[in-house]
Amino acid sequence: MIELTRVTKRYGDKAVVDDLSLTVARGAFFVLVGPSGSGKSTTLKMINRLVGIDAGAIAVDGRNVRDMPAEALRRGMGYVIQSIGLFPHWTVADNIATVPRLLRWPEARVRARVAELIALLQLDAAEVARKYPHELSGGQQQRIGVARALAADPGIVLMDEPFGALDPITRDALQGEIARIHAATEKTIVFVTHDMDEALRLGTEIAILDQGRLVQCGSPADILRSPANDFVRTFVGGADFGLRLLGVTRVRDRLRPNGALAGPPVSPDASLKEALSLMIASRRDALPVRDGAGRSLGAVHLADLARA
Amino acid sequence: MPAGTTDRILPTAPAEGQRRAAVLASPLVWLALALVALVLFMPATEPLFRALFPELARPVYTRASFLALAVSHIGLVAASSLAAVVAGLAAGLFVTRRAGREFLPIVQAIAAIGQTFPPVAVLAISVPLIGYGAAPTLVALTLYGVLPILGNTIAGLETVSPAAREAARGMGFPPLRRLLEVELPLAAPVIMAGIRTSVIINIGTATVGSTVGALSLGSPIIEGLSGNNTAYVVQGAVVVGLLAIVTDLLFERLERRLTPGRR
Repeated sequence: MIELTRVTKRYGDKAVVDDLSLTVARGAFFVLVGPSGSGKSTTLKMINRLVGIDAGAIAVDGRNVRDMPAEALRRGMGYVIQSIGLFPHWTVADNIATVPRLLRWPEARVRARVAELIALLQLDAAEVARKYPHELSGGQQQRIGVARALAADPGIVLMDEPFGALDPITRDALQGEIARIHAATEKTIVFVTHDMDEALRLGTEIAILDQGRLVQCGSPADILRSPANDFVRTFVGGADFGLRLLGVTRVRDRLRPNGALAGPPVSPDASLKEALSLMIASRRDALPVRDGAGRSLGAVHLADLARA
Repeated sequence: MPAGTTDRILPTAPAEGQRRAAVLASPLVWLALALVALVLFMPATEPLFRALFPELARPVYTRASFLALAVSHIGLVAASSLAAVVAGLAAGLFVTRRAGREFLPIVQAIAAIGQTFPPVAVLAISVPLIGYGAAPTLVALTLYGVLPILGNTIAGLETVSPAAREAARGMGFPPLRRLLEVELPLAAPVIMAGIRTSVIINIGTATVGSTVGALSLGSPIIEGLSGNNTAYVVQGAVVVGLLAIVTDLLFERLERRLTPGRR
């Protein structure tokens, strides 16, 4: 658990983070979102003490971060940045091994862990491990960046706009990847982005910041259904507002237990947005809902999508 | 060095046969052999120089053996370059750390102005202060040699990408290991280029040391110039030139080796 209590950071006279209090629950995918200059990156860097705080306190699992040596604190947290920052003079395998080696793991364990992560991030080991970062595409490099952050199996991973510089297709793939890893490992992830759709897709909890202050904090559905003020309404709204709302609601919440329908089946865990897309693509106003094992659960109807 | 710096996973080395072929094809090997042959067997070239310069009574320099000249010359360059590397690196590291940041502009200014000074001028200033012989030469070579190393150390450290720096901090590298394992290796090619420039300049400049009494490959050149013996000038110049080229090629290899992943 990460707790920020009335944290303030000033550069000169300007408070870039202003009296901010937040609680990140263990296992949350916590997204800090806001326009540039909202203090979201600064907030993230205060958690691993890359940026010092001027007032307030930050505690990780009940311990004030100021009471821990900065290096030990950082080795206990994964860190992924937009500019990736792989070490260009080390091979991919060595890059991934960075933190385990800083922690003085035995070499055999380091190698085993590197192999594990290359598999987890779906990078072909033989091809990639011995390459140098510049031989890889941006998307592959950031996969390595993520693998490096996960290498020592930290309980907390900090991600500072990690996918902001990637092309849309690669970004989509990596978003799926990190969501899968979060679901599988139950790590606490603190994720900074300025992209509301990315926040809605990934976050279990979203904090919206503006000019260093917390404007609203809640689940994606909370924020979309009851925005705290006009700023949030503008930020989450626009032409896509309805689609975003569909994006945060699951098919299982609109399930009708009626008989077997024809048409392409949809998973109960898919979003209504995906279901709508599938209805339009297949030119139907209802779809059968089937779980992963292929059991029929009922159907989802177009008429139910607009229901609140 | 702390644990964890060794045992890196490196790409596989080229095959033995390929390596042997590369050695034979390299100009470095041939030029180095030519240099060694000239230094050891210069007297054997007498018929050639006699034919080229028939008016000269003694067409090959014999006051000191070329081996002694070369050893003394290399000694001057090695000692002064070593001192210059230590001083240049230390000063460059100091002004790029937080504690020394304030001195960065003034040190950079001194380094830039210093480069415009001709080395002969440094020699001319140090003789009245220290006297004749090897000592003023060593001082002049060291002072002059520091400048490119200092300049390139600063430039090299500043070219380390901010992303790699931030990542290293965020991963939890302590400052010294960050310097030794990330910043210096990344700056190494640029620093090495500075050392290369410095050493090559000093190989040439050390010849001037013979005007103030140091024994070097400049001795036949100086004596040839004053005694109108062009053969001596040619002998000294060819050996110095070969020495500079061979050293330069050696540095080129070293620089390539220091640039993993960009080969």
